[in-house]
Amino acid sequence: MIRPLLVALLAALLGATSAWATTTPQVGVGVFGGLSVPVLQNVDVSSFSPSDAFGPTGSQFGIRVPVKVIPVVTLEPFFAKSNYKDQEETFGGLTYKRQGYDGTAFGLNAILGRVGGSGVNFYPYVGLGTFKLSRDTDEINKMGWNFGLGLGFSPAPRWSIQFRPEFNMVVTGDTSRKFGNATIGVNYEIMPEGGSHEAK
Amino acid sequence: MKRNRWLLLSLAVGLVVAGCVLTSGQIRISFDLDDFSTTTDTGLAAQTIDLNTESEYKDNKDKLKDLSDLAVLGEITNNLGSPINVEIWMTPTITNYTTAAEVTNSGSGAVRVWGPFNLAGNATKKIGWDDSAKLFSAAGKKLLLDEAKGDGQFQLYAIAPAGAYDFGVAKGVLVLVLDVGI
Repeated sequence: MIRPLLVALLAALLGATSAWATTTPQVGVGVFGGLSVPVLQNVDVSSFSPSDAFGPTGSQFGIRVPVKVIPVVTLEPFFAKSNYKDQEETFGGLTYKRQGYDGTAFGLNAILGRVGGSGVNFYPYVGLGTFKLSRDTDEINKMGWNFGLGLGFSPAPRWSIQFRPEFNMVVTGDTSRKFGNATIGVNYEIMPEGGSHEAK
Repeated sequence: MKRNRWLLLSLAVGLVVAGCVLTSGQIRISFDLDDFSTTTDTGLAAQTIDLNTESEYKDNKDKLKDLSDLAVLGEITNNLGSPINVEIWMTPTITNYTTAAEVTNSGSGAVRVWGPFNLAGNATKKIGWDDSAKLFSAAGKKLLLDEAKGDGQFQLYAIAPAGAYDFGVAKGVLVLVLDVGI
């Protein structure tokens, strides 16, 4: 299942690189943090309500390094840590807790557009990475995908604020573990647009 | 602009191909177990499980891919002064063994799916979900998954194989979290 998606991502990147230009690289570094919510995991279907589709809200933080060396696409290696709360359920009148996962992820986002720069910009992106979800009783260590739409705006030269709602899917055979993420971060352009190392 | 369209199209194709992975989830089904008590003298505590009695299972059986989490929950009381190790054994068909020795006999077809759960003398303990999940054997998980994908009927036996025992289980529940396509 991963292979067709890899091919699609590669095709997208190749399409973007077909008009490879002598663009001066733009390099940034950003930190982010926010919320991460399990989606459609451990759902009680006997008394389902829409809110049951979402597990206990967790947190996520990490680092991203957006690098724009070609027109159209920015490549962005990322590393993220997440932590999910325990889930409480009642069976037979007794309340039980199920330990939440701790997550570690690293991978690469392909962003349509740019992350930094002046003004306000929107950018869709897709990412591929390796995701590890672990708790005392079990561990999932699989490839996964990110899909999101970022919003960035620059309050000062070289600096930008990034807001990203994101859908994350860790592929586990024929099914997947899904998470909805909403993060806010700060990005600093080490090498800004135009190749100048000075503030714009 | 044309290049951007190709880029989006490629990504859309990828998403469509990944559809079956995307449209999946983990659903939880719980089965209440009858309260019981068992002693070395009175023989085995057995329970027949028919997953088909749960409409949630029947509705999702054909979409079942894997077993992502499971637990045996409830309160166990040890009525003797000496500690015991409680185990749950399973046969993939409906059986009617009457002694622990019959169940644990290598030719019985029974597999230890859970345990040992250690309980001190004259103690009552609620089995925690995390603790319970750790006690499932790999062979037991596989057998449960096979049965969940199969006819959904099997037999569970609760025993404390070493020495004399006298224990009871109250508010017992078997919890299965199934990976299903939606």
